[in-house]
Amino acid sequence: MNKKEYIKAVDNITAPQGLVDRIAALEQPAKKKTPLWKTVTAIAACFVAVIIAFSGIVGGSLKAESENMSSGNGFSNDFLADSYDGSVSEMPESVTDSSATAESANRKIVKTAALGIKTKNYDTFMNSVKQKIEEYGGYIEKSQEYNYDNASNRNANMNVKIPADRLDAFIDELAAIGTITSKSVESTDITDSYIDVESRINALETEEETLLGLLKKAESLTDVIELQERLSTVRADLERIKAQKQSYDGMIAYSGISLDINEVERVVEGDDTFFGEVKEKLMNNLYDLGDFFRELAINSIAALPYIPILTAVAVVVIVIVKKVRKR
Amino acid sequence: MTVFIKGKDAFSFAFKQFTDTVYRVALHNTANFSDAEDVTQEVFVKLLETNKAFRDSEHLKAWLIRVTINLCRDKMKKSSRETLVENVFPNKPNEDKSDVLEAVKALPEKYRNAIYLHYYEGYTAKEIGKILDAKESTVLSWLSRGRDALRKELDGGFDDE
Repeated sequence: MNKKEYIKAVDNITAPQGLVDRIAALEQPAKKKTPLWKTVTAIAACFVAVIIAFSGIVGGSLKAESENMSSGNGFSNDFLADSYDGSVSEMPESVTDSSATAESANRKIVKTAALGIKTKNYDTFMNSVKQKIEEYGGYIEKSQEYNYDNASNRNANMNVKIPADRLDAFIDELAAIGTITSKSVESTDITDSYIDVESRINALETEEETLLGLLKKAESLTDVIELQERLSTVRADLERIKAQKQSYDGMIAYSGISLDINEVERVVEGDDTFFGEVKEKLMNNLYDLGDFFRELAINSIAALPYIPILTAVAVVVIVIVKKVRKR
Repeated sequence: MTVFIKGKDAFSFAFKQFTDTVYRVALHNTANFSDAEDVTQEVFVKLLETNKAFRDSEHLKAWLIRVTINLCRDKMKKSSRETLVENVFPNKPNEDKSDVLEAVKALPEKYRNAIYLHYYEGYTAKEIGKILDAKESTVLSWLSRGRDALRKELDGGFDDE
C-alpha cells in the first residue's frame, strides 16, 4: 500500500508561492529595466529643456528662424497627405484592410492584466470587487490577504478570471471604485499553436475513422488485434490533444487578472503638472503635520497616569527647597 | 509536422502546467528545499534561453524532466564536498508519508527517478527509457531493483496493488 502513500506525498509537494513568483518574473526581464531607462530619459529631457530655454533667451533671431522652418515643414506635410489620400482612393486598399480585420478576429489571443490598486475603504472595496467579479461572470482563482500590523495597512493579492471580452469593462469598474496605481495589460498570440492543435485533432480523427473502417473489413484475428491496439493509442493521443485545446480555449475565453490591493489611509491622485506636484507635496506635509499633532495629543493623553506621580515628586521637591531657603 | 510550441508560448505553457512537476523532480534529486527551488528556477531560465521547438506538451514535459535531472546532478556534484544530509520534509505532519518519500529519495539516482516517473507520472518503461536515455529492459530492471530496495525499507513493500 506504500505506493498510494507515495503518490499522496508527492501530490502534497507544490512549488512554493515565492518560487512561482520568481519564475513568473523571468518572463519579462525587460520590464524591470524600464524605471532606469525612464530616469535616464527624464534627466536627458531636463537637460535638453534647459539648453533650449537658455538658447531661447540668448538668441531671439534663432527662434524666429526655427519657426519659419517648422511652418515650411507643415506645408510639405499637407502636400504629402493630399497625394497619399488620392492614391488610396485608386487602390483597392480597403479590401485588404477588411480581410486583415477579419483575420484578426480569428486570431487566438490570450489576454492577461495586472493591476495595483489603493483604497481607503478596504472592506467595502473588497466586497464590491467580489460582487463585480460575480457580476461579470468571472471567478477568483486564488486570493491571499495579509495584515502587516494593526494599522490600516492591509494587503490582498488576487488572481481573478474574467471573460476576455469584458476585461476592459471590468478594469474600468475597478477604476471607478478604487484608485489604480499601476496597470499592465498583455496580449499573447497563440494562433500558431492553436492551429497546430486543431490540425493534429483533425489528422487523428481522420486516422480514427480509417481504422474503424478497416476494422469492419478485417477478417483475421491478428488484424483485428493490431487495429484495435493502434486505435487505442490514437484515441489516447486524441484525448490528450483535445484536453490541450480545451485548456487553450479556457485561456482565451477567460483573461487572468492579478490584483494587488493595498489599503491606505488616504489616496494621493497623480497629477503631473507643476502646481499639481506642489499641491501634492504641500498636502503631504500638511498631512504629516496633522499626523504629528495627532500623535502629540494621543501621547499626552496616554501619559495622564504618570501625572499624579510627577505632581507628588514636584511637591516634595518644592517643599524641600522652601525649607532649605528658610534656614 | 509543423512546429507546435516554442519560445514564450512554451514558457508560459510550461509555467502553467509543469511548475510543480519540475519542482517535484528537483526535490527528488536534491538535498534540500532551497536547492530544489534554485534548480526549478534554472530550468525555466534554460527554457527561455533555448530555441527548441516542442512537438507537443509531452515532448516539452520530457525535456523539462531531463533538464531538471541534469541540473540537479550538477548541483549535487558542486555541493558534494559539504554533504550535510538535511531532512528534506521536516514539516510533514504525517510521518508515514515522509517515510515513503525519504525511502524513495534514498534510492540510487536511476532507481529513484524511474520509480517517480513510473508510479507518479505514469510513464511506461519505454517512455522512461527515452527520457533517461536507457533501454526499456534497463528501465524495467531499475524499477524492479528499486521496488526490492523499498520492500526491504518499508513495511508492506511497494507493490502495484
